[in-house]
Amino acid sequence: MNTIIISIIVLCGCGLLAGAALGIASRVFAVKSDPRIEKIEKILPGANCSGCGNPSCYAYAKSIVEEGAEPNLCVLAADKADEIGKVLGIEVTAKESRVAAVRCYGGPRASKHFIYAGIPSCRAASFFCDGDNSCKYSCLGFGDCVQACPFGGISLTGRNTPVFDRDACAGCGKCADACPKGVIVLVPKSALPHVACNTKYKGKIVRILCPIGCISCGKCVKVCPEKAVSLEDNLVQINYDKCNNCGACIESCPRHIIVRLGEHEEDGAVNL
Amino acid sequence: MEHLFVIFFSVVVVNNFILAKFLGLCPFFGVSRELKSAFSMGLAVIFVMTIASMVTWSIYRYVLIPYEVRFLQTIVFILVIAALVQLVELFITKTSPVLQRVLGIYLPLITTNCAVLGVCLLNIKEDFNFIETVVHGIGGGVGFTLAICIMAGIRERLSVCRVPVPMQGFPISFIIGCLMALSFFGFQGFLTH
Repeated sequence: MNTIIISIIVLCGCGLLAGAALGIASRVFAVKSDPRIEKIEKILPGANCSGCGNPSCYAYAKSIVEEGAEPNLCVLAADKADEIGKVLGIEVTAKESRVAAVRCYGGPRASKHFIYAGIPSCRAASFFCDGDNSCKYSCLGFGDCVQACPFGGISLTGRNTPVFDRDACAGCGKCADACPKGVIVLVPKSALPHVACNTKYKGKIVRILCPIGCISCGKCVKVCPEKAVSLEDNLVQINYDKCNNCGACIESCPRHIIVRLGEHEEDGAVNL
Repeated sequence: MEHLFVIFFSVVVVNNFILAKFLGLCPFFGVSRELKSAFSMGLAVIFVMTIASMVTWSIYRYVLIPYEVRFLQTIVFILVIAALVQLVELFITKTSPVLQRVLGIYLPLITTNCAVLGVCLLNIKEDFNFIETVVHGIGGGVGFTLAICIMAGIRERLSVCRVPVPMQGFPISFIIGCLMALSFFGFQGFLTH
């Protein structure tokens, strides 16, 4: 009998003591959190896509309030940027939303320097002699980006160039991170011309390797009225801040490497 | 000094909590997908095991033995460990945001972990004194970290491998766990008292 009473007392005593200690501790160590964090978190989509550079939507809301991060980084809540501004009491302008586009349409057409029969993954293939495409800057076409996309916006049939669904794309950039070749770039949604080649080889070599590779002839650079097109490392770059979507560069390209972004995506096939 | 080393070595490799005693398997499979998070988890376990060993040992020695209610050890230890981890978490959140970021999400996960309870009960069973208890606690955590980090390394490699469909995910992880346990079995002959 005595043992039962003692054990009850000991156990209850431990429980009470632990409860009291926790109660006191929660008062003493209470961390004040800003109520605005919760409000902003509710506005954010909660997809935790980490497109803004933060690990989760909560972390982003916290960094907006506490560290003064820019409140318009979330591409999914772009239309709600003013709501976030209201919570913070400041003006926020929505950022131009971006979409992912692939910088190489030549992957399946470029010559191969060996037959790759390993694991069907771009990451695995690129470990081995930079992949089987003789152009080491090209798209390998196994579709690591397809798996990386949290919105199911990338499709791929066979070993080919991935096709991006512009409406589904939130511009989070996960595909760009997943690509071992770095051929996926984020471009403004309103942009028209897009350079569909990623090679940094000299024109002479490109002619041998790929039928649709950029040979850095520079015609597009000369024809651009806004001086938005430039050649860097044998590769055409378009500065979308200057570009006025006139399309002159698209017309000028003898190898049809500069493409109209929206068009090719609409018919779902590489339009060359 | 020498026997402290023996305790430490024994609990890290020979009697590894995961691979020889099969305790704490849930985090071993749950948090071993990435090396980084596995390592953080390991740190949290070292931390909790050490503190829990110290506290439960003291409670056993100064409460349960004098009142002759040693049979209560399991339930009291669970209670104490759970409360303790909560307390430590509150303390860390307040005092060290850096530590909170590293250990934060893993601490609640190990509140009721069997490996932590296992360490505490073994301290009693082996009749350790306080210092031996501390060494045993740290060793248990280090052993856990070792096992989970090896596992995470293998699983990271595995993610680019072709695994037959029915074996993908947990089945292949279990097999890897078994093989690891088998290889750690080779340490068994080290300690012959």
